[in-house]
Amino acid sequence: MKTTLFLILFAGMLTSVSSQTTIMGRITDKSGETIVGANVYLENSYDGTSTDVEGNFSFTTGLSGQQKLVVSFIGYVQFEQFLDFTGETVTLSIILQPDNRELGGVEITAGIFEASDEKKAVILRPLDIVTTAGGLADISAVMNTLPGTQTVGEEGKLFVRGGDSYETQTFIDGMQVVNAYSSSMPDVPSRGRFSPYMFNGTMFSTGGFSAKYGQALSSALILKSNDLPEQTVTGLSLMTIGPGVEHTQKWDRSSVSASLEYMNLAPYFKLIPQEFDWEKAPEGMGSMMTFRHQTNADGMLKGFATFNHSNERMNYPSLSDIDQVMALGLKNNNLYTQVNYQDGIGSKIISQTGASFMQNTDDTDIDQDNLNEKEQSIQVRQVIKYIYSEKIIVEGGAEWQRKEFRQKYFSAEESTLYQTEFTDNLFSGFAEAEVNCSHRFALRAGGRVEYSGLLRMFNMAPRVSVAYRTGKSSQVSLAYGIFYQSPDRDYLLFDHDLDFERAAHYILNYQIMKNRRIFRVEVYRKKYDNLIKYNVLNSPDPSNYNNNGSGYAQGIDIFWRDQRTFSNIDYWISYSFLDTERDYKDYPVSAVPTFASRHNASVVVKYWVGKLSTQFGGTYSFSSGRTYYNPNSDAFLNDQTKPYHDLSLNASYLTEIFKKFTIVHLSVSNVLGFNNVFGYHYQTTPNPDGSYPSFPIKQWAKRFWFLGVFVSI
Amino acid sequence: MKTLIITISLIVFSLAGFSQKDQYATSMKANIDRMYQSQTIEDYQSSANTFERIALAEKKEWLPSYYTTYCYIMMAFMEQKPDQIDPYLDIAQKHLDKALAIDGTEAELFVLQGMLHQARISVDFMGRGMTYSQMAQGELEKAATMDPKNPRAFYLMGMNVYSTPPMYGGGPQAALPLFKKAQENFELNSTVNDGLMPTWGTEHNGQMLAECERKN
Repeated sequence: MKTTLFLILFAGMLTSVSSQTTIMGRITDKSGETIVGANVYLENSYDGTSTDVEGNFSFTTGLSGQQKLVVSFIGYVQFEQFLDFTGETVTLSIILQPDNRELGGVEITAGIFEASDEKKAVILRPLDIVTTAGGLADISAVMNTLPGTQTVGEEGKLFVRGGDSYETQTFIDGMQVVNAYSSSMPDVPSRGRFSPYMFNGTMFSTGGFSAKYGQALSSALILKSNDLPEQTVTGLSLMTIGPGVEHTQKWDRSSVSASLEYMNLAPYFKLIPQEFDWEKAPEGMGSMMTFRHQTNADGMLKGFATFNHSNERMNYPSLSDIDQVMALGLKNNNLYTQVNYQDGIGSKIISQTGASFMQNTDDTDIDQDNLNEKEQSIQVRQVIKYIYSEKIIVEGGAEWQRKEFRQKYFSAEESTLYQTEFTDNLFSGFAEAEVNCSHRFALRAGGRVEYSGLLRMFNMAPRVSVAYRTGKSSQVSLAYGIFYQSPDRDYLLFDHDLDFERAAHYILNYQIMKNRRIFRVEVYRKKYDNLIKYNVLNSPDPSNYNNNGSGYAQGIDIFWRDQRTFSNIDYWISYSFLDTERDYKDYPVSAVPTFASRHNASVVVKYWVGKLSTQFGGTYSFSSGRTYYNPNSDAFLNDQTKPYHDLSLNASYLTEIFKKFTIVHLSVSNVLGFNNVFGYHYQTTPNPDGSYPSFPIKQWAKRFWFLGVFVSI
Repeated sequence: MKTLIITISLIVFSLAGFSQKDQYATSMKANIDRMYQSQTIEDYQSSANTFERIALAEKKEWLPSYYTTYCYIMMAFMEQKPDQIDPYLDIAQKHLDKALAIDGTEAELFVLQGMLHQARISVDFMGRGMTYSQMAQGELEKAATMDPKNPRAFYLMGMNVYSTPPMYGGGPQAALPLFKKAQENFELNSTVNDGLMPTWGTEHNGQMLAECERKN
């Protein structure tokens, strides 16, 4: 009896071991392409296999009854199916669905160029900003190599898509920076006040930007300051324009840094002859302090303060008689300080608080006359970000900005001091929602309201962008928005009865980003209304000013970047076509403004030579001719300059000095010595023969050389 | 009769016992051997799949996920298309996180984390080189502190230093002591392996050691 029982038990065990089921089949994707190397297995067992080169699989299992079959492969949604195993061969044909999650969300790319280390798919890296030839580590100069910008060599500022320079505003951690460029003499290009090394994220929007940013008609340069630094470090720099020193001290969760630099172009000007007649070469000092403190996992307190001083004098042709010169002198003091605190409130809410203070004084001597301008800005900003789900994020915020501007003009002839000033309180609020559906479609919709206490005017600006993924690496974006900006301070001094200037943007963008190559093309149309017009420049009469100006800009921007084709070579090509006209300021008719050039192109090349530990760079820029006002001509703004060409080269050599890491940087602009003329200044009154004599607006020197040695200790 | 029954049942039970207990070791051993023979991305994919299946069945073992990670890192190293490298490494990171959740005290896992960071550099040498080699160095140092006898931590640190330009304190001369230390540890380790623990790196470390000695 016992024996029988054992035998039965034994037989049963044998069956359970020996009853093998074969599972076989083929795995493809939606389009019928075979999937090679997919993992096919039964859950919680060792039984399974990988598909072969034809997408086929076959394996046997000793398991019986209901089992879960799983198929997984990179880039596809995991496939699961319950099967009943009876010992009979199971044959399957399985189609895997692409997993869009692996692609990440769709990013709205209309109007945006981003440089960041954080995301995988961006057009630029922060390093690109400091290594681009001709850029001289100036953020706006580097952004000028991107499409959508027009080269205006005598200004050095960003002119975007037919917009004037004041239409582009700079934002640091959300706060608007008033006076973001250095003050400069006429026809001398200015630089951005902030070093690119301060930021780990730069977003350059050529239009259609988020409702978070206001008071910019055309463009926003959105900068994100660095988080905690990696380590304690001291840096020394010795440049042809002066020396500098900086130190960063890092603790576990905090850091403090300070820097000081002195600049004097006098020795350089002695060595390299200049076109301009400098009485005193630009001299200046800059200092900065920053601190960071990580309060908890989500909490970060950031602050920085910069102070800059500059002083320069030159002889400039007198506009009333260009054979005479007038003595110009400029002293500038600029203080900027900002504090930001970001923290999480629970797991769904992020609060961002910011406050800033800016004070700028420009003291200009014009022969015996003196113009003293003082501007102050205080801004407070609170933003709440609510993460409803992975797919829906809602943001809302409020801002208060108080701007005060005071102008004093001392006329020596009349021995009179004229003083005018104004104060504006601007209250703004915004709300915006971002919805990301199924990793294919993204929508950002919101609006911004502003009230100016000085103008006693409201505005309401809707903004909408959508992005749709058309393929694994390509997408289409659309953006629409209304943008308002308060009239420039020069007009507000005399007339408070004005309205905001207004622009409407329509943008269509296509972008494909694949294997370190990027192609993007964008078409846009921008319509301007309510632009300020006046009869006479700087007239104190309020009736001189009105909002009757208007204009348009339309065009196409093309960008190509390739980091793959040639080893160790990275290059990008930008081309912009611009068609624009406007009727503003004292224009008698609608005309192409002097800062707009129809064609702009740049080629930027970077070549790393490992053997020499050196990166070489070259930038070629081209702009077609710009209009200029010629009083000898009958038609308004009908004359054009010759096209602009520039080839700039640079080289950065990485080495060590006394065992310390050192970079030696050499750069030269306009290597080929093109004689670029940006326009002409005409005498205000005609000569006896009735003609107006003129002088050309040139580069301050044919070439600009720069040599710097940077040591990290 | 009784003896026969006992014998048979003993065989049966030992067989059953075998299938539960030693299937893990046998499968692992076979697949580890197969993995080391891999020549192509497809070979590694197939091994990764097998290790992943074992990992899913053996939820308390960290080694199957360790090897899955290793396979995906190797695939990333072999991949020519830059866009495909990060997806491999993202999967590698998921498996490595799983292994670390099972045993967060195993030095080999930190070695692998260092190697994973190193693999990210090839996507964008200029942009990522500095950050990821520092991150890799941090993980490798952690591994070396946890287990000073680990050869791979020193081998990969050597690779890190070797590929760093001399002005950043890298180069063959600076890498030599690390390859030497790795060599010592490899020799020490070769006697105590149970056949499942990682053994990779010995050969290449030897080559690198020879090259550094030649260049010095």
